[in-house]
Amino acid sequence: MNKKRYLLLLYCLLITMLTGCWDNVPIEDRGFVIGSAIDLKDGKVDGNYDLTLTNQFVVPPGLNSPMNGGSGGKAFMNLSGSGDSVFAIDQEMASLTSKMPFFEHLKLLVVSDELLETPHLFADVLDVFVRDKEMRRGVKVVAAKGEAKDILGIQPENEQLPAVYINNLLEVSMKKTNLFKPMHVGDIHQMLLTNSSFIIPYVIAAKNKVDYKGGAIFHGYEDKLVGFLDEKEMTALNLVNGDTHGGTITFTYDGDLITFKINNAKSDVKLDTKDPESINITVDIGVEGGIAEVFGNKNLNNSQTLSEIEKEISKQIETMTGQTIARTQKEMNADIFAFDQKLNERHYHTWQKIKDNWDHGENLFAKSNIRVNAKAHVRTAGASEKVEGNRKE
Amino acid sequence: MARSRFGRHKKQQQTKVEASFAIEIFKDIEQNIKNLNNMLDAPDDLMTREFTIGHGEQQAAIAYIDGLVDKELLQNNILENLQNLSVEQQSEEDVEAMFDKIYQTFISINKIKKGTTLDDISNGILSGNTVFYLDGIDAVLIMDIKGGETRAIEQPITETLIRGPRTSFVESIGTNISLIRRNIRAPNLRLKTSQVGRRSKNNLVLAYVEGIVNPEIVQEVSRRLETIDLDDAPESGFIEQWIEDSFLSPFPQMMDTERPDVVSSSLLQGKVAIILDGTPFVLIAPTTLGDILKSPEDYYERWLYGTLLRVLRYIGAFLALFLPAIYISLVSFHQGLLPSKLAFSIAASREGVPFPAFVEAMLMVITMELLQEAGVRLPTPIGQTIGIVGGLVIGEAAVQAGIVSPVMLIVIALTAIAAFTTPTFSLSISLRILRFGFMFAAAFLGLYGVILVYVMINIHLVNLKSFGVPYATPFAPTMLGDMKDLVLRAPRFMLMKRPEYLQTEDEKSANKGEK
Repeated sequence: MNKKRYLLLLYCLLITMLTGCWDNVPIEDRGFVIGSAIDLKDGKVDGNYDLTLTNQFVVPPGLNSPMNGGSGGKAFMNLSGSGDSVFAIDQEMASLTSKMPFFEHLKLLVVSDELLETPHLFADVLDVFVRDKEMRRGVKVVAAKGEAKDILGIQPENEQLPAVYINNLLEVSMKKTNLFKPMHVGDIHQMLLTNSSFIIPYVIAAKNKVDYKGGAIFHGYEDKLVGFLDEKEMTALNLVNGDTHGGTITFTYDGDLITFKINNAKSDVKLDTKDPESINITVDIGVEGGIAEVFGNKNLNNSQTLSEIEKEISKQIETMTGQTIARTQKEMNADIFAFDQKLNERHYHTWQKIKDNWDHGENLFAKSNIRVNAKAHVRTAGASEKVEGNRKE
Repeated sequence: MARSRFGRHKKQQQTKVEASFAIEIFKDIEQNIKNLNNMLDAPDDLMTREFTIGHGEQQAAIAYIDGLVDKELLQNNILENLQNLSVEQQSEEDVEAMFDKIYQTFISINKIKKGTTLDDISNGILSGNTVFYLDGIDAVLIMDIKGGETRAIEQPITETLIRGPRTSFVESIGTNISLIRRNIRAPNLRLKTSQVGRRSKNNLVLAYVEGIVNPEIVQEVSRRLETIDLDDAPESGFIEQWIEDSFLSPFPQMMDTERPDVVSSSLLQGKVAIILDGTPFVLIAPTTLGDILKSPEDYYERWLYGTLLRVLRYIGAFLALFLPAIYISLVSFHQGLLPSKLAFSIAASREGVPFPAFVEAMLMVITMELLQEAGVRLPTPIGQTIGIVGGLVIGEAAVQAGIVSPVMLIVIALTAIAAFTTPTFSLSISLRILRFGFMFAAAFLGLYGVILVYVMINIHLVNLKSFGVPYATPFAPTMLGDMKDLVLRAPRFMLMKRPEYLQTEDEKSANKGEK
């Protein structure tokens, strides 16, 4: 009896001792990939697209840390490889470095506009970023003008790692200016699954920074890039979607330039589906904010002026959003305002009937009437009434 | 099995001891003293003083062990009284009358009794009593004038507090009991004395408050105490190890303390204290895991501060147990769980370290244990030097030499500090032991292994009992009423009841101040 028990114990020990430690890779042997860029190298070769994958590996000793005082070397290393399958290139890359590629810290995926314009290719390429167990759904996706790998090659001045630089740019600076909302692999996955259209931040590489060019519109049904929005149109888009906590609107009032800073915006979409052939959509936008900058020496501290300014801001917003909506309806025919989702939620039966003719077929989205009502509220005119006294006319 | 074999062996010896010394006392004083000397083999510290009483020729003698009695008391209250005695006598009845008179009147000592066997005499003498012989009487007087050098009451050394009484138990059981008595004036504080140690014959006192304590607990503790059959019990640890529930468990199943205030408050909660002569450490039973993580200061300070301290202590226990294991598993298995920047900086700091994280951690943990042990063994002034040399020099030099990474050093230092927040030393030892288990599990299976070991320990904890009280209560048999005083310490007015898990006879420990 006792002997059996000891044998059992021995087996348990052997199992752990002999097989244990699998998956054990010391942290210093990991090659942390923090950014990936995918370019389209050539058109179809033997029925498959020829892709170029560039991975940005972190070189930890190159990072300035107080202990090792920064060895002066580069903090990152970009490696490129070509092939048909993204995963196959990743595997191939393992033979190029002394470390095991490790994707759990991947922050950024850059995709070239050329690749996005090729129908269905983006969804195919994205598969490995959704399927592989090391991939995280929080990876941010940006579209690049020209070569995507150039984005990973920039030399930012305040950050050591280009991928981290862009990641922080998307997170921090955009939180303030509200130019683009980061798009994650998980979000895109969801959009692709429902064939919805969406916006990817669109950037171009400069020497030591990236330039923001607006947003790239990805058409869900056509499964490719169909057009671009500029910065102003992006602000309009965010106002319609109602998830704005920043951004500015500049306009002239009484001959002087005034800049209004948006603090908070809410939007309410009302859908009228009596006539499925021509759906009436009303968007009510409520904007709150303050006057950030005033040229001239007007005193804004009276309710009359303020309400006039509020009216002017509302008008600006209505024009701005109206133009943007018209462009997306006419030029791109892409519902980036998620009206399709709202129809699905609130008018399910109607949506079931029209969903195959929304942004394709009969193009009901382009035919729908969209009206925007804006209501701006100026919370504060700033800390000071004016900068100088009366001006000589 | 081993224990019963030992027991049989012992029984035989005992009968032998009893057989040789159950000798009657003779009337002849010379013979008596010779017998005593024979029995003890006439040691140097056995003092026998023969003298005559009054002005006559009545022979008398006293015997005691030097160093165990209070000499001043002996001189002033016994010898002087006896020598100044003037009794006219000489018949045999007179001697007996004189003996009675001495017993009744002349010896001004509170504790005095008659003895009739040599065994009584040797027991008395060896535990610090003085024996009085009178020629012609086949009995002796055993007078308790215990004295000798003892340590004064000092501050507690292992359980220091910022706020709270500064007294600590000492080695003398009489002093210790008096310290408890001073805190509890209740008439139903019961102190049951017995003796342990077949040869040391140490006094052991079982203390409890009748009317509060659950009688079943007292019964169980007494039952276990009766089974003790040791040669010697110099420390309450011997008693603890003899009567504990599970000798395999890494957890202490009794609390030991040198603070009288802890003992008295535990007694009033409905627990039992075991006080042993010769040691300042008093055992408290039953004990639960929650109890060992409590410090008296939690109650002495206001409840917010008390709660903060408790929470800190739980965090400390958690860190002391898990931190090196979690570090090992994160660094060698789950790098994806670390924040990116931390992962990169750990990777940078480990660049050039020759050992895997587990070996590195083991190296540092063992170094730390060595330092701790060395610090305890060395005299205090040198002990501090060891701390500086070990902590600063070795740590710094090891990082400079590239043997360990700086992050590892932080982990180990944090672990060591966290382990010192546990209020009971015995629990901090168990945490130190278990830490190794967690580190091995982390090295083999990563966080999965850590969780497996954690589950194993939890299974053990819910199975463990301390004198019939589940060790993991009020966590595991959940007692909602006791949760108020566990991880959080509720305000005073909410703590009106004694612990539910002790099933005390009197449940309330306080009343709302109604007039």
